[in-house]
Formats: sequence, structure tokens, C-alpha cells
Amino acid sequence: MRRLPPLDSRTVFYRIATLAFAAFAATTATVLMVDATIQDGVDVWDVLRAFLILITTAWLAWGAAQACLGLAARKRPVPSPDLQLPAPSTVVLVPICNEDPVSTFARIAAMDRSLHAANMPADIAILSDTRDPANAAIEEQVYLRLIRETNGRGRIFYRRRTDNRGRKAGNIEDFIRKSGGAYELAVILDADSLMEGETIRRMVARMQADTDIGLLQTLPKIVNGNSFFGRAMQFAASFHSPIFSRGLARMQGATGPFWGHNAIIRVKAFAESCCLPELAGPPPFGGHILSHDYVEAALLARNGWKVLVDETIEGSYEEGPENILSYARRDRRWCQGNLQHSRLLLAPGLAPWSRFVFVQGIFAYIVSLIWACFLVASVLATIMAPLPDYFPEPYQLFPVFPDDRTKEITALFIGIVGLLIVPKFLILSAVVRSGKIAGFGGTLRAGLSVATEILLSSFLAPLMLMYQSRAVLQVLSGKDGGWPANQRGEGKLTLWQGVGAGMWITGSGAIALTTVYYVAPDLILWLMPVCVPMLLAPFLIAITSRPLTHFLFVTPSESTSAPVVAAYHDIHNRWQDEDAHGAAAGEGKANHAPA
Amino acid sequence: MTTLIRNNPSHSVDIVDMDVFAAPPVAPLDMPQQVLETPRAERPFMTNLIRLLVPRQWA
Repeated sequence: MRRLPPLDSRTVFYRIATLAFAAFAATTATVLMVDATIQDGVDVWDVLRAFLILITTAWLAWGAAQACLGLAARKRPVPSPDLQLPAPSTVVLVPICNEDPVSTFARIAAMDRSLHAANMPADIAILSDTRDPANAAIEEQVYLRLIRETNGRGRIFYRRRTDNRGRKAGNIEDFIRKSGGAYELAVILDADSLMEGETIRRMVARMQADTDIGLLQTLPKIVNGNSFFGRAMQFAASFHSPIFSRGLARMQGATGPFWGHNAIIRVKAFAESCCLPELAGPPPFGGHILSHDYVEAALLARNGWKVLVDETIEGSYEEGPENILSYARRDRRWCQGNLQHSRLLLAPGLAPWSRFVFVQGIFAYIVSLIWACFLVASVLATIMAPLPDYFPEPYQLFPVFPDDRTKEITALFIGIVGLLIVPKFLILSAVVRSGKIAGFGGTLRAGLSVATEILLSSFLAPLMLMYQSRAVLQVLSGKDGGWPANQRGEGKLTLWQGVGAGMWITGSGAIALTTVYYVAPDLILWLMPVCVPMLLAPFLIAITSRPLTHFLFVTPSESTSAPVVAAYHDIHNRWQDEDAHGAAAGEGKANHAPA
Repeated sequence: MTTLIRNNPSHSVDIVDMDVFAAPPVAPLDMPQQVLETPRAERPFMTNLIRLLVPRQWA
């Protein structure tokens, strides 16, 4: 039986240091909170608040420590072996489900062109789970166009399942069961993924050189962002994420993450490790495993295969949500999937770090609910607080005034905000020193982008808190969110749509603010950063979905157009033009008929 | 089997059998189903204890 190599001392040190920092920050925050709240005696609200601030600060500090861990550049270069011929048989898998066929197949045409340019032989298999027959018929038409343009007959495959069992994980499993024996390696993509041929060649060479790697994950950069929200996410994914990912890579050792796409797998390892069972009971906790990627990574590690993430691999792209509603819809699915992992925490044979990753995934969502509970507990504690007793002793001549603890609370507030903001400015400084700042528009524009992104995140944080808290409560109450289709492309929302989607947040903010105004007016100022964005929710939802000037949030893949992204735009525009002008009329209409 | 019937520029009809060239190669590979939850009787004592302490549907 295969076993993972033992942890090296460096990885152990990184894990202990990160945990120690999180524990130190959480303890400090709790001490400050306790010190400030026990002036009028200890009650149940003080204990609850201390506990909640301990958890939330530990979570924030954990993220900040991860960023700090990634700040230092790699001392040992990442292995970059040459591809040895004959190259391992490789297939690029593109699972799709109710996507826009023209965009999806244009991406495949661009990647095929890039694979040729990189002299990287690979098949491409489009694995359709599309249910709508009309959309499936269009997929087949566009597939024929793709085959004709790329001369891809016998090399680019298309098949559609009529039974969508297991959704995306089941789709890939179905391919491996039926065709996996023909391939040594498989690159797994999403419908909106793009990868340079050279990138795939480099990943194949890496897998060829180290036969213990079961999965190699890249850090995809978000491209084609157009709205305020989309471009801010695109910038953050390019600017901050590589540093966070490097920190993550340092902590995880060989039990890394799988994010479901833009990764390469060893087919044999995946086949022997990753056939997921259906969990007993109904959704949301039973049924198919929604966040299958985390589980697949854990299972590969359980079987002794190395799972690595390499943030230095360039040429890996995806698209992101263009508005808050698309983001929240996707987040709802991820939330349910991550909470479902609570059933797998005690799965037999998993590496401790894999279990810890499940806990982290669960925390990523329940922490919003914990923050909400903290805010509610703070208000309740103020309401329930006993009136100050200025003469605690009988026959006391002079009154005793309670100590002013504003300093402690302010320090706590600054500390928490610091954990959120300081890593981002440290990353700005690191990028300036690395000489990569030109790709982000230079120091001034990048600095402005970072500041704007922080401001935007601050405004959107209360909205995210509300959406995530609602998602957690829905899952805990047994409501299944299913697997809604991704909404890609333009996502401009009207103010009216913003009202429809965000009015419940505005209402909650108004009720909270009114209540606090009457029962604990001293807290109004402290709650403003949360309540004001809540009141503005419809406006924020609509305005952040609007197109944004490209002066801000410039990324390297945008400033020096990535070849595969440029090729995709060329092909996509041409296909659209041909359709619009009837140039494809010669090919005639396609009628879908059973044989 | 799925076919596409297409009108070409000469107004004759091509019948393109998608399954002939679109299907991926047939090369079956076994995928044994993984065990993620052990039967109650085989679980360690602590696992059963934790499961007793949390609501059934969550664990």
C-alpha cells in the first residue's frame, strides 16, 4: 500500500507557527473583550461574547498568518523538468452542463490551437450533462464546427449523458470508467476554464518526472471581468491569491487542495481513489457529495498520492461571477457542500490535515453566522447590563465611577480590522519589491486598486455575512439548494433587481438600527459599519454589477493579453459574426433526429 | 445513436453519425467505490460517542 512521505520539519514548523499566531491573536482579543465587559460583573452574555470573539479572531488571524507565510519568496525553485518523449497519453476533460455552447467550444478551439503551438499532443473530451434537448442540439452543431475548424476528428470528442448521476464528479467518473484506460493523465477544466498549451505541457512534464504526484493544482487567474464586482475579484485573484496560495502550499505539505478544475490528475490514481459513494439520507447532508473536489483530494492523499498546489504555474485562467447575486448563488452551493463535509470528518484513514481542511471549509461559512451572533449578543449584553452602582458600599461618601474601557474596545476593533487589511498592504509591498507591479498598472494604480478593493470588501462584507448566514441556516434546517446552473457572462443588474434581491437585507439592517437606537444608543456608532451597507444593499448590488473603467484593477493577463485568452476572443467573435451575418448559412440548419 | 442531418451548400443532405467519431475511445477502467462512513458496529468508540452527541442528520 502506498504511503505519503513523512512531513518535513519545515512544514511542521509552518503549521505550528500559523496555529500559534492564530491562538495568540484570539487570546489577546478575548482578554481585551473580557477586560472591557466584566466591569459591571460577569453574566452569560459576557461569556458568550468572549467565546464568539475567540473563534472569529482565530479565524481572521489564521487567514492573515497564511498571507504572511506566503510573503517570503520561494528559496527552492519549483521543479520544472522537460517533457520526455514519448509524452504520456493525456486528455483534457471539459465537463459542461447547460453552458453557452459558442463560448465553451470557442475556448476549446483556442486551447487546441495553443496545444498545437506548444507541440503538446493531447485529446480533448467534452463531457456534456446538458439536459435541455434544444441546447444539446446546439452543442452538437457547434461541436461539428469545432471539429471542422480544428481538424479534430478522432482527437476532440463529445458525449452527452442522459443520466446526470453524481453531477460533475459523476460526469468525470463516467468518463474514467469507460475511457480512462486510454490515458495516463487528465487535465480537468471547467466550462469557463482556459489553459495555455505550454502550461499543460509543463504540468504533464512535472507529472512525468514525479510519479508519486496524484494531482497538481494550478491557481487559475480570473479573466474577462467587466463589472465593478467582477474586476475587483479578478484583481484580488491575481494580486492577493498567489501569496495566500503560497502560504497554503507551505502549510499543507503533500496533502494539498483540489479546487475542482484547472488541475491535472494521474488517471490511475484518481480511478483507484476517487469513486465517491452517495451518502445515506436525503440532501442537504445526504445524497451526492456536492463539494467533491475537497473529498477527492483527501482520498488521493489517503491512498498515498501527493496532492500539490503550485501557484507559480502561469497560463491557467477561469472566469468569475460578475455580480453579487451570481456569487451568492455559487456560495450557497459551496456552503451546502462544505457543511456536508461534517459527515466526513471521521472518515476512516484520512490524513489529519485533510480532516483539518474539512473543518476549515465548514468554518469558512459558519463564521459568518458566528459574527452575526456576536453582534446580536453585544446588543443584548448592553440591554441586559445592570445599571451602574456608584455606591457599592454602605455609608460610602464618594461615588465610584466605572472605569472607561473605550481604549480596550478601540484596540480590539483596530486589531480585527488590522488582521483584515494589513496582509493586503504587505502583499502590495511584496509585489512592488518583486518588480511585478508594472503588470498591475504601476505602483500608484495598483495602490489605488488595493485601497478600492478594501473599501469595496468592507461595504460588501455585511451583505456577504447576511447571505452566508442565511445559507448556513437553510442548510442546517434541511433545505437543499440543489445545483443551479452557473450564470456566466454579463451580469448587469437593474436597481429594481437589486431591490428584489437585497430588500430583506435592507429590512434587517433597518430593524437592527431602529432597535439599537431605542434600546442602546451608545452602540449606534459601532454598528454603523455593518448597518449602513445593509441599508444600501439594493444600491450596492446594482452599482457593483455595472461596467467599470479599466483604469482600476489592471492585471498582468489583461495588460499583456494572454495568447490563449486573445485566441478565444478572436474565435468567439468570429463565430458570433458568422452566425449574425448568416455566413454559416451554407452549412444549413441542423435538425436533430434520432437514428 | 444520435445523428445530425445537415443541409450542405449543394442542398443535398449529409447524415453525420456523431457516435462514430465523437465518442471517446472505449478503454474501461475500474473505479472501486471508496468507503467514507464505516458501519456502526465497526466504528471506534470515540466516533460513536461523537455521533451520539450531535444531531443524527449532521453526522
